[in-house]
Amino acid sequence: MTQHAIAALDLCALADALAAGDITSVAATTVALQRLETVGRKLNAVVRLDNARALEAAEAADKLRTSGAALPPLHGVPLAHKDLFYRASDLSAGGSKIRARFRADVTATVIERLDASGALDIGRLQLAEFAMSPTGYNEHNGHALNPWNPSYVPGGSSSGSGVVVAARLVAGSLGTDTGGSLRHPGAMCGLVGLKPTWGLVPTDGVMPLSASLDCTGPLTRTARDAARLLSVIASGDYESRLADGIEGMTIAIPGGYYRELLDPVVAVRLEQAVVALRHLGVTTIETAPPDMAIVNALMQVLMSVEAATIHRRWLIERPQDYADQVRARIEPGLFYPATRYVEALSLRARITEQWIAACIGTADLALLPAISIPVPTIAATTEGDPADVARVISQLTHCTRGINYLGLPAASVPCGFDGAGMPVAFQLVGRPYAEATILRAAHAYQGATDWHHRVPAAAELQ
Amino acid sequence: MNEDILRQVAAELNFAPGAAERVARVAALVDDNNRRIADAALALPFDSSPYDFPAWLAAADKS
Repeated sequence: MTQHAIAALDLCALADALAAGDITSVAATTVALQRLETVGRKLNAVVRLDNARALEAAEAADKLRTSGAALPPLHGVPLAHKDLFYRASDLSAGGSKIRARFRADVTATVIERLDASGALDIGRLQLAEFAMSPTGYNEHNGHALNPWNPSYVPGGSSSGSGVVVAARLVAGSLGTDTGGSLRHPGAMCGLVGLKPTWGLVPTDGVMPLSASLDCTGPLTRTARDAARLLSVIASGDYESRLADGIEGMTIAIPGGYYRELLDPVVAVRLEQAVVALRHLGVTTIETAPPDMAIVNALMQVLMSVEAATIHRRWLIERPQDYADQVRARIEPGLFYPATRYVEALSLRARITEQWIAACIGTADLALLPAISIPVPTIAATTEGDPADVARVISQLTHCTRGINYLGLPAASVPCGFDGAGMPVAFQLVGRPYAEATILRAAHAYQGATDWHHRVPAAAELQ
Repeated sequence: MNEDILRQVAAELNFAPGAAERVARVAALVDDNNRRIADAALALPFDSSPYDFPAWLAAADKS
């Protein structure tokens, strides 16, 4: 198999080829390392590659396979992750200047679970500073570049993860999502970005931003790949019933708030996706969201108070080492009374029940825009009038950030391209622990469409 | 909200004088969120707890 053919394999295809002995782990890992070093560096998506350790682990994986031993589900598959996941004794900067020399003394449980599944951990990827930007903004390290067009933001904060999976450098990557940080790069790079139910996937050993909102999840090209990775990191089975189909499923389409900012081209793509889902046997119903201003306020208080608690010491001692855009998102958390914070937590179950009743109602899932507006350029999110920049950034999280307060599972699913050739995505949201239903719907949709097979020119596979 | 109060909160409760200097840009956001949540919390039963949500999620977990 040629290097390009190996790079073109999605996660499950690569795992299957490795298990069958069609390719070796050394070959797959060599291709991934070479492409991350060349294409990945060009796209500013790579923080660190662990070449020697990765190739040693690949050789061991190949020896184990030839021994005839039973193989775990990701045996020999090279993966790289957001530079927020700790491995004991390794550097973990979290996209920041402040933690540039920080070495973790623990390994994240999700990394240990991937190790046990046979996956190879070959490096760490670029992200927004302290995971604090929906665009991927990183003043210290520069933007990771969207492979569909480097003038446009890749989405963040798991920007490097989105870029390398879309550019076919690795077949899957772990990221985190506090206000949309898996779904943003998923939507903007043309990938499935799955935010699980809060608490389903362990977050220990992952640098926190806001413990009440943080979720760990996969970024992959397909729903099947996401199911494979989620099965490992959540210690469950999200893959075996994936192909059951969605005939008879009901999907709600909330209006109101979720249509307020909707760009006409994005609206057309979403409508086309809804038509495709109906052809697969889905019934759709229209619903109306509750007051989202309160949901967003509650999310903002939890996020900023918890982030300010973590960052207060550095805000005092090293304020110059934060990008102003990042500091401005943390500092409001210094000003809320403790009663507001506890009230925000205490209201959470009630508000979530209200949202589910209003938005999902009798349906199985809700379909929202992932991002209401076309993918913006880097310039539109960094230059000019600060008020304009702030407005664009706020618009990006319009349909995502509230879902983190609600703690619900959600995924971005690519559904076409806009006039500039940038990806467009819808978002599926479910009740708590409805990941299997979300993935089943996304898998069925991907079976009827080919958006996830499109390859950006920057992948250099043509 | 009186910005002097916020400056005092930053400087004297959080010991963050730099943040106190930047109060003007966050005051409106803090005021709006503070009021919205204070109003919404009026509907909370007396025995509400910040641990209600994890308990509610656990009850929803059928696995």
